[in-house]
Amino acid sequence: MLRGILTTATVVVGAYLIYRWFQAAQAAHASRFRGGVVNDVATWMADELGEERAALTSALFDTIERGRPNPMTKRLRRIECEFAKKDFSTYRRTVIALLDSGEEEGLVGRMACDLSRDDLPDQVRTLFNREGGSDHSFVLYDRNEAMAGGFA
Amino acid sequence: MIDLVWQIGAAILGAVAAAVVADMVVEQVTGKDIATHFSAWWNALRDRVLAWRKSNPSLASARILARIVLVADEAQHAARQMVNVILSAKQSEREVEISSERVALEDIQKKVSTASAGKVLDLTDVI
Repeated sequence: MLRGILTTATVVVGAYLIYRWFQAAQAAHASRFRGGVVNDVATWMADELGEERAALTSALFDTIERGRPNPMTKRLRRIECEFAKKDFSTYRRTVIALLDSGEEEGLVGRMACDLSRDDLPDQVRTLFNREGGSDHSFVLYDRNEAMAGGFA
Repeated sequence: MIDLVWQIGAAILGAVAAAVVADMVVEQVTGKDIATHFSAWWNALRDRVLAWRKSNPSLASARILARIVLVADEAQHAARQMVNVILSAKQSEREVEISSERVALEDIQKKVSTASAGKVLDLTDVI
């Protein structure tokens, strides 16, 4: 009887620890991708605006993740992310950011790098599995939904 | 009983040592380790199976095989993620190409990617 209870308890605790381990792995994976995108946009914006990169990174997290307006990102209009399949294992990730720059023009920045399939966000990997195709594009941030309608 | 434990321990150590040596030899000869070779082979196999299912949507065997491959793919991906947490593996250093251009607002629709192709999804739950 005691042996049965101990075995059951061990299995339950083991399963729970594996589940937590899996969750931590997923969170670390998403965080790595998110950090890469925000870092690249901050690097580009720091060059264009002459601001400090660390402060811009923090402002971008505020704006994109928490939806809080931030004075440092007020010129940021839109961020998109494209994934293009290069071969079975390699994907080209291009982040496209648009900044307001005067009344009649905008500033478009492209930050491109190669990622392995394991580095893709789960949602993107699943989309490539489900729909196939060689590229998919996502909107990460849009300041103005009406403007987004204009693009689409 | 103790002999059996020793035998099992020796077998495990031998297997690990053989795997490490094999991995080193393969990396020396081909430039890639066994895990990378396996990953490339698996990715090619998965894509072929998924393409086959797409071209034969009504074939039950294609659907079943594709389902098995997708489940196995998720499992191996989850396993790699979990191992990476233990090893604290960081994403390999990325070489980022950055370019910048000024664009008239009326031309922005062309410049801002494939959003115009109607394939825009909301990634805010990922980012």
